Amino acid sequence: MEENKVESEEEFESAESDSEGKVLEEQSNNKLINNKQTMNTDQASDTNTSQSDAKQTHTEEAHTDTTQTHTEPAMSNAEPTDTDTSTNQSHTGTSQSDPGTNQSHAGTNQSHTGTSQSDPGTNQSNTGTSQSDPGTNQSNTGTNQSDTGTSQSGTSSWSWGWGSITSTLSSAVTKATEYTSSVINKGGEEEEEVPTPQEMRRESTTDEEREDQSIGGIFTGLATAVQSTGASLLSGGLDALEVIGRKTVDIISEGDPGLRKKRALLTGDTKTLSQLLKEAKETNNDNNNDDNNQENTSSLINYSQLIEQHGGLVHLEALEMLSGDCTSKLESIESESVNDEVQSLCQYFNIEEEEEEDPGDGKEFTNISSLTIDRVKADQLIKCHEDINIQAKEEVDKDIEVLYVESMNGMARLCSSSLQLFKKTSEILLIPSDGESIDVKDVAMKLKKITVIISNEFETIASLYAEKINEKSSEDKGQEYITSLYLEASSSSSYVQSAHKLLLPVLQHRLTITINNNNN
Amino acid sequence: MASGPYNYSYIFKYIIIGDMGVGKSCLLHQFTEKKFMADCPHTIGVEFGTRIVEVSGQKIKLQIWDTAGQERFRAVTRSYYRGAAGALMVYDITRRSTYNHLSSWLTDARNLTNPNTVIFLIGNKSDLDGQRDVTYEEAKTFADENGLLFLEASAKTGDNVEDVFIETAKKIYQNIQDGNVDLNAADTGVQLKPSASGGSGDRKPTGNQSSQQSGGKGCC
Repeated sequence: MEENKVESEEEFESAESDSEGKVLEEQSNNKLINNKQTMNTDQASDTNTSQSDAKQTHTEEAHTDTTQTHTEPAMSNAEPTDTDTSTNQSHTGTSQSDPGTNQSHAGTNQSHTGTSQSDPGTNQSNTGTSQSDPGTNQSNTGTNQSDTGTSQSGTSSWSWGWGSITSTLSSAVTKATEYTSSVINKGGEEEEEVPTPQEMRRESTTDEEREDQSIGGIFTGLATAVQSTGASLLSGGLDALEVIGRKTVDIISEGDPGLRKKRALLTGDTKTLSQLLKEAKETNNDNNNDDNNQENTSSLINYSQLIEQHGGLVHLEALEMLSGDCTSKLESIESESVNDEVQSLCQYFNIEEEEEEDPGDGKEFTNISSLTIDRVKADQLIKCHEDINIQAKEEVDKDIEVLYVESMNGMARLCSSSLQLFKKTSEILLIPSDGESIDVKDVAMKLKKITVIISNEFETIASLYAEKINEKSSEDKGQEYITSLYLEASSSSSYVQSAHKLLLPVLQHRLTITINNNNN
Repeated sequence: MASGPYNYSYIFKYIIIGDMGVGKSCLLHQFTEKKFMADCPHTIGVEFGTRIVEVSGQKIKLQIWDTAGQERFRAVTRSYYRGAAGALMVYDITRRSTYNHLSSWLTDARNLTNPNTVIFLIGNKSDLDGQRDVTYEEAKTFADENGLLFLEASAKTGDNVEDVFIETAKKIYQNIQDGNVDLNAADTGVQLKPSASGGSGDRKPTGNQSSQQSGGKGCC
């Protein structure tokens, strides 16, 4: 906590929340190549061609996509085998994958759509429309394209294994930021057709509702747009897609024969979540320095900076180091039976969709103190949660800016505190036990519960504040705040869930120690 | 310019190591809060502190990892040495055993950090001169033989505490100036803040991006 005091003056400064382009770009580069390698060429569609199909509905699409970002992690969790080789995905924006070609696309802004709802039997198909960006964020958005496909592969790659999970997750998170920022830009332009973030949020929470088209005009419009896009894409024919696919390959391999550089990039992708966070923070900062337009309200807060300010980043870094060391120790396991036992722990590290969607009540949170392992106290986390709730329920008249800053700070604090709890848990787990035995499976089960409770809480906080902001202002600014509020709530959940996954090798290592002790 | 969120040019990672009860956490607390913490609880695993200092006109953010001294945490804390630019190795001048263990701590520090990591030996509790168990000269000889920087300090009075942290930063900064630290390499414990270097307001975003890219991808 000390660092907070020291840093707070230095670092609490406005920054754009929508400028994590660099990280995203690198991530998407890598992922795109991955897609490239695993999917048939006819699955890629080029933005230029799909433009005509999607243009008339682009506003709705952009919003659909935002709602998508909230549900995606859960969906992919529920389907761990749904890797990016699935056949019904189509990806756009692939031409952006080469850093060398980026500049020529600067100044364009793409919106993306995920339309899994249009056909429950198929996987998602994505379209992107390319349009000139009337906003001031060209420098950001210019680097943010090509994530359509990535988002899919990123979040559906849970079965890959460790390293990729953290990086893909965080890339999904950064992407989520981008989607919303493009929505924000558009939100200002075409107000009439745009549902409020809260409406979008409601729609995204339940899939049943999506299918039930009687919800309201806005939603019907959305669903229709989504369906027609999907249908037109499919009926557009494989021929067109094949052409597009070939073209995409050409563009991707331009100046990079054999895709050598991109393959190198892919294999060299060992970035950890904390590194990505750091880069995101710096990129945000850079862009903020460049951007003298302080009118941009979303620049009030840089969430990754807040996470650092509250100590979350360094806790995450420490956790990654422990987790990494445990992973390398696990590699030397020779006994098959031990290996089976170790692998059996993986089952406790998949957060199912329904669990994640389970709405938490405030009381549940205090239960965390009974779920932590001995000697790890959840006091700080629970105190933090209480503080946020007290603050959120204050009957004081606050400006929406104040509410916004307050909510973001609260979430960042809760997130950092959670990361700290996981780090401490790892440290205690790795102390050589003096005779006492730890039931590793029990710990794993409880950690999963903790993760679900915390993940849900971010959403609760966001809703709490969104309601307050909505009461005060239904103008663009308020909606903008609400959008980024939900977005960062979703990011926070992702951070916590990524950190949770870092505990797997730690628990596995602990288990091997226990087994060895029992054998001796 | 000064109002920028990152008005420092570098981040240096420090790690504080040494036996239990030598005053590692108190040194950190004195440095970051300028206060003496009388009843300091045992550190579990690692705790953190930060402070921004100025060296040769450059603002540097020190990110300090304060490790647990208890033997049972040794396996855990060994994971944290990696990437430290500075290692503060602390013993208690009133307890000889803490001095005798230094060679073991030094072995860890040498093995688990990189060759450029600056190691600073600190004889803490210099205010308790009456109970001294290790002479200054003896420790100084040990430090010289092993190429360590050395000072006696007191977390209680604050004597020399500032100097220890700043001298380490100076030495690290010197190493950077001499070209001994590759800022693009991982695990040097030094991060350059491109956005804040030189405090220039005329940075070209494109140039900045490419430098970040080379930092991120150059290792591939």
